Parts: sequence; C-alpha cells; structure tokens
Amino acid sequence: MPPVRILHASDLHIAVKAKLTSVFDQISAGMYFHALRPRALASTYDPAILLRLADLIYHDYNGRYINQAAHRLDAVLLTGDLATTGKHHDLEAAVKFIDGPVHPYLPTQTPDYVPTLASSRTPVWLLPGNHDRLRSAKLTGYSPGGKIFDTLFASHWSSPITEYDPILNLSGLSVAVIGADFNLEHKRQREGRWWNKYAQGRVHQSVLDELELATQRIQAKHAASSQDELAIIWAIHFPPKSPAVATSMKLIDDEHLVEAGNRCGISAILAGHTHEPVRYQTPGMKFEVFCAGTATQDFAPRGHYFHILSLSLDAGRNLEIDWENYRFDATNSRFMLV
Amino acid sequence: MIDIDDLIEKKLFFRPSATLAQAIVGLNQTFVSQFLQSDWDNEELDLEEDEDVDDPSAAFDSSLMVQATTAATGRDRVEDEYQRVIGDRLYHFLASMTESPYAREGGRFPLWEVIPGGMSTMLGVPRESDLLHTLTEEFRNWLLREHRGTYKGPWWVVSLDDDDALVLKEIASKQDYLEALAKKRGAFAAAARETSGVG
Repeated sequence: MPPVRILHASDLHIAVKAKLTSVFDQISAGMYFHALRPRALASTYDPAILLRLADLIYHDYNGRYINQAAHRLDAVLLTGDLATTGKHHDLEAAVKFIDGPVHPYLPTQTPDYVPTLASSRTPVWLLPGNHDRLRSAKLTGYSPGGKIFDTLFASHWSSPITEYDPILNLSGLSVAVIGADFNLEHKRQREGRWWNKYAQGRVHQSVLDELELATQRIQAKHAASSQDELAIIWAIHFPPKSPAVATSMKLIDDEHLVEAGNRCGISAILAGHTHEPVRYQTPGMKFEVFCAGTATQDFAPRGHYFHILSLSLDAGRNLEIDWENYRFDATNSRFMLV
Repeated sequence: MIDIDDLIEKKLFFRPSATLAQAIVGLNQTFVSQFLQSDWDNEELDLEEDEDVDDPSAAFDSSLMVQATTAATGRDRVEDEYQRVIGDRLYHFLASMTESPYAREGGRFPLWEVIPGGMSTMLGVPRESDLLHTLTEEFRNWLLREHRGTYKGPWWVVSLDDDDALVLKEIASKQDYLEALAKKRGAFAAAARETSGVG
C-alpha cells in the first residue's frame, strides 16, 4: 500500500543577495571586526543548492529521483528560517522561491533566475523560524518580533497556528499537519545574555492552547466522518528537548509542549533550527521528533540535508514512520539518499 | 554506453581565473555591504535595543573560534576557494537547465543571455556587471579550447553550437551505468558458460 510521503526541509536562509563569503570565512581571513559588524552576522544561502532542491521537488512529482517506488510526494513542509532575516527584501526573495513568477522555459526559476517552487504540483507548507522574525535594531543589528512574514506569506501562513490543507489520505491512513509559531515575540522574552540569544524560542501558553484546540477539533471531526486511522503531526521551528541544541538557541518551556503533545496523542513533531538532521525521542515523550538539517544555508559544515517521512500502517493498523535522509552531493549535483 | 573513465570528477570542471574570482567576490561584498547600508539608512530602528546590547566578551562561543583558528588562511587557498565556489555554482546551474523540459525537447540556451543572467543570482552580483561578461567569456574559452566545445559531466553533456548557444543533454547516470555494466557482465558470463558447456 502506498505510504503518505512528506518531504521535510528547513533553514533555507534565502536572502535578497547571496553573500559569497560567510561570516566564518571573514573571520578565518582575519577580518574579525568586519565580521562582528552587527548587520554582517546573519548567514545566507547557496542559491545553486536551492535551485537543485527546487528541481528535485518539481521533477519528483513522477517519482523520478527520490521516489524509487514511484510513490509521489504528497507534501513539502518547510519548518522555518526560509529567509536570512525578517526584513522585507529577504522575505520577498523567499516569497519568490515559493510563489514565483516562473521563467518562460525554466519551470524552477523566475524570469530573473531565482529558484522557485511555483511550478511544483506538490503542496508546499511553511511556517516562520527565528530568522524570519528578525527585525532591525540599533546596536545589536537584529531583534526578534518582526511581523512582515505574516503579511508576505498570508496565503500560506495564518499566525500563530496553521492547519495545513489538504489532510493527506492514503490506504486507510489520514495525516493532518498543524504548524505553530513559538518564536520570541519580543527581545525581553529571551533568557540570558549570550551571543545569539535571540535564536531562542518560547512556548507561549496562548499559542499552545490554540494548537491543542486545533488538534482536538481535527480529531473530533475525523472521528465523526472517517474510519481511517488519524496521525497528527505538529510542525514547529524549534525542536523540544533537543539533544543537539545550544543553550542560546533552546526552546524555553519546552516541557509544556511535550506534555501537550502527549495529551493530544500526536505522532511526531517536525522541526528545524539546529541544522543537524536527527530523529529522537526523550524519556517521557510519547512521540518522536524529526529534525531537519539545513537544506541550503551556505555555511553547512555538516552538509546540506532534507528528509522524507513515509507514513503507513502495519498489519495491525499501527502507524509506522520511515525516515529517509538525503544529502546534497556536489559531484552529482543532486541530493542523494544517505 | 559511457565508460567509467568518463564519469568525470567535478574538480575537472571549469574554474574561473584567480583574478576574476577575486574581483567577483570583491564586487559581491561591496554590493551586499552597500545594499545593507542603504537599507540601514532608510529604516526606523528599534531604539529600545540600547539596553540589551550584546556583551562583546561573549560575542563568540569556543566552537566558532576553533573553526576560525583551524581554517587555513593563506591567500592561495582563499583564492582557490573563491574559484571553487564560482565554478560549483555554474556547474549546478547548468545541471539544473539540463533537467528542464526545454532542454529535453532539444531547446538551445543563448550563452550570452543565460550565463550572465543565471550567474547574477548565483553569485549575488548585478546582472549588468562586466565581470559576468568576462566569466561567460572564460567559460566559453575553456569549453572550446579544453573540451572542443563539449564537456561531459557525470550524467549530462553541455555543448556549444556555432551560434554560441548551449545544448544540454542528459546521459546515463552513474547508477544507470553501473546497472548496465552488471547486466553486460552477466551476459558475458552466460555467453562464456554456453561456450564452455558449463551449466
């Protein structure tokens, strides 16, 4: 029976203009103070790898490269940090990636050769990460709380909760995905004074309440109208209880999120943020967390990754989640299964 | 059938001259800095931010400094890296065009249009820059002089026709090749068994 297949990528870090040298390159070249200039701190993306990601998603509708079993993708989920900053110009570049326009004969590029998914026949779901919420600040360069994302992505994202449509349905299994925004709303919500302190998230109780209500609503509606098994997935930028996250980048109050996930009987949380692809479950957690690496950020010492989750039912109608990791292979100019 | 030796390593692909690579990176840095500065000048700032300035002594964590100190910083290596980045991005851009429906239908890509246009985005420099013209010229010369107008990648071929248009075609992938090779070896083995009469 065909599984439900979701391509999960994260942390694209698209910018209006890609920098050819990252902050790390500048430091290593001895330009310490140049690198420290506040507005040079945000890293940017590799447009060529973004283009190859768009190609793969566009062409794989027919199972050409990544769906060897000819099972097409059912959805693409981008769990935040689509842009380098939450400033208008960077977010507009990210909007181009999602919505185009499309070049007359290159379906994965805009007329000015920016990579785009606009021609893809696979639904694209997204949510904001901490970079998408960065706004200008006087001395530290950037501060959390930017709202431009909500305006520019209004057709894809309704803050702070989005129930993605359609609910995926195959072989007796329905899969509903809900996105939630746990970004800092203001700089004072951060903890500590570490460098990169605004990379933290916080489990806002009001957002968590909405997330639980939306989950319960979907579950009740499904129970009344379908015999299918229902799997609920939450999509969040910040991975809770992550084994790979620095204190300066943690999700504050993440225990509340875990408790709510347990209460709601969710199957998984899909997240990004750490730039490290990892699948984990901590003690007391009744669901798994699937954390995507960065798909396209230029500085990626661990490589460029996305993964595909295949959800299906076993003979006993228990949910099985298969996890395929793909890494960009520069020689082949393609993401390859690892 | 392609030969295994033809599965060319990407390192043999085009690299711009060191001078050009340095100039492109310099233009990119200047352009991005100017863009950010003008953006900074035209924006209302969050004045509350003064109270929450980063502590400079905590600006970097130790892992960052380790990366900084372990990275080689010689000029040659930096220039080599610039050349690699630019060559890589052109390589991936051509690979992308090869997979387009237009290329599969035999469409041709005007060299002097698609390379400056595409590489403007790939390299973050203005499309009208003379450096993109020079990059196109260096690539054209490399293709003609070192590959007689046709370069074969792991799964694609790029050719330059008489009208200075690129023709991009997919060829067998490495996986396809290895599978074909295995079948061929299987056929040889079967033929050998028949010849020797061994079952």
